[in-house]
Amino acid sequence: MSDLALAQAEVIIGGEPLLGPITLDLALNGITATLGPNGAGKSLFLALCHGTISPTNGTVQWSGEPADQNRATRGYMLQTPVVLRRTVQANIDFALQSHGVARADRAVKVATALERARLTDRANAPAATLSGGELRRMNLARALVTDPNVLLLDEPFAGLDPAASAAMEAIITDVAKTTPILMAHHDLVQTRRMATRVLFFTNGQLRENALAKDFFSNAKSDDAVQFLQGQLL
Amino acid sequence: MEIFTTAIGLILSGDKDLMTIIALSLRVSLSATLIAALFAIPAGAALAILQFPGRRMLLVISSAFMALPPVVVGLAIYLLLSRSGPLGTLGLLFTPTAMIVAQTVLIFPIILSLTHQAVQPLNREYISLFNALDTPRFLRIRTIIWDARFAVSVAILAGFGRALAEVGAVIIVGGNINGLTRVMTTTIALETSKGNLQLALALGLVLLVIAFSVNLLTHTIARMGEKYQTVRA
Repeated sequence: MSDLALAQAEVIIGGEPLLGPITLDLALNGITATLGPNGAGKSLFLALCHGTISPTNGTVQWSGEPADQNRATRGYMLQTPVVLRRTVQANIDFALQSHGVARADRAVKVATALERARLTDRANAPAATLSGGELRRMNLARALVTDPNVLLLDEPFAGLDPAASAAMEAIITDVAKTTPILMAHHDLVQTRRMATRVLFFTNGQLRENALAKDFFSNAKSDDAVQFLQGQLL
Repeated sequence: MEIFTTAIGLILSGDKDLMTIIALSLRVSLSATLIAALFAIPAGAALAILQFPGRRMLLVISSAFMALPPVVVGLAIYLLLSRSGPLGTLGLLFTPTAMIVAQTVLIFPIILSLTHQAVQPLNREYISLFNALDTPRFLRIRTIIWDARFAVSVAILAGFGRALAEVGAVIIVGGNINGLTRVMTTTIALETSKGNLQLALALGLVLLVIAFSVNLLTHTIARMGEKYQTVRA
């Protein structure tokens, strides 16, 4: 269930082409990072892959099935964390509830997810009282509590200080050992450290699809070369 | 001043007629609130979650009906329940049941509109998570009701306050029959016109105390909800 296929997939909103057309066949493993400047379409690409946005033209499929029909097989971490007005524990449990997991099986899964996200001691706190870093980890826990086949992470490091960012990186790297991850990110250093594959975007177009080591040593498109040199695009 | 002492004396003596009137008032208005809330709360939340043609029209009608004059509701229910009316065979006119029906109709739009106003911002906040998790509609409705429970309780109390304080509807469909359909407000209207001010004033005081308690409860509940609110932007 981690085979992603886009065929001429395109997002046009209000007559404005925002993304694509993209054609892509990918068997995800490890961490696949979508790189690019702000507004390149990284988050939109993730939403398109998850099926929360439908392609205006073309198709998006996971293992041969349209993306909007098997959302429950994936975990999705939103860029802007949504905080349910409940405890941390209940926030994570909500993902299981949404997928119709029986009550009896939920407590153990929630406890495991809390532990993986290092939030066990905050389990009973109202989610609104969490710090920025804890909040992101809660969102990550909510995405992985359902034992997804693939995890889609939209800017998991946005707004984190170095310590919180390092904690998040350790968790994601650990999760990636067992679950393929598709992640939107814009930090070069961190992506270089973490990613196995890079999808590079500018202006809503997929410019490169390469193994991370090839991308960083030998980028082909002009935009990518400039981006790697730290120039503004 | 003497009249006040007589009135308070009347309350403290536990005068049987007085107690019957207070008990019927509470019974009618609490029943109406319970029935109205049972339907109006899910309906208000459903109107936030479900998208269907005519949804906005229903909301406009509902908020317009919040200001429905009680006498008009009373008249409409009277016409329905009177001997020659479509529901005349039920023989409900001039019974407490008819009064409950009238008050239910009166406060249904109030509870519905206030519930909708309470859950609508929550739905906007939660919708990206709902979509990412592909949360079933029924669970979405339950979730926004539960997470807005403090504001929804306030909606219920507002409905109760309105039901308890209105005169027009119950006097028309109840008929203000001594010992049978006489409630606090209708008694006040009657006794004042008869010049029996002690009893009217005693009931007025009881109504005020109840209104005050309901408001106190409303504020307490609203404050209880604050710890779950997200304060950060």
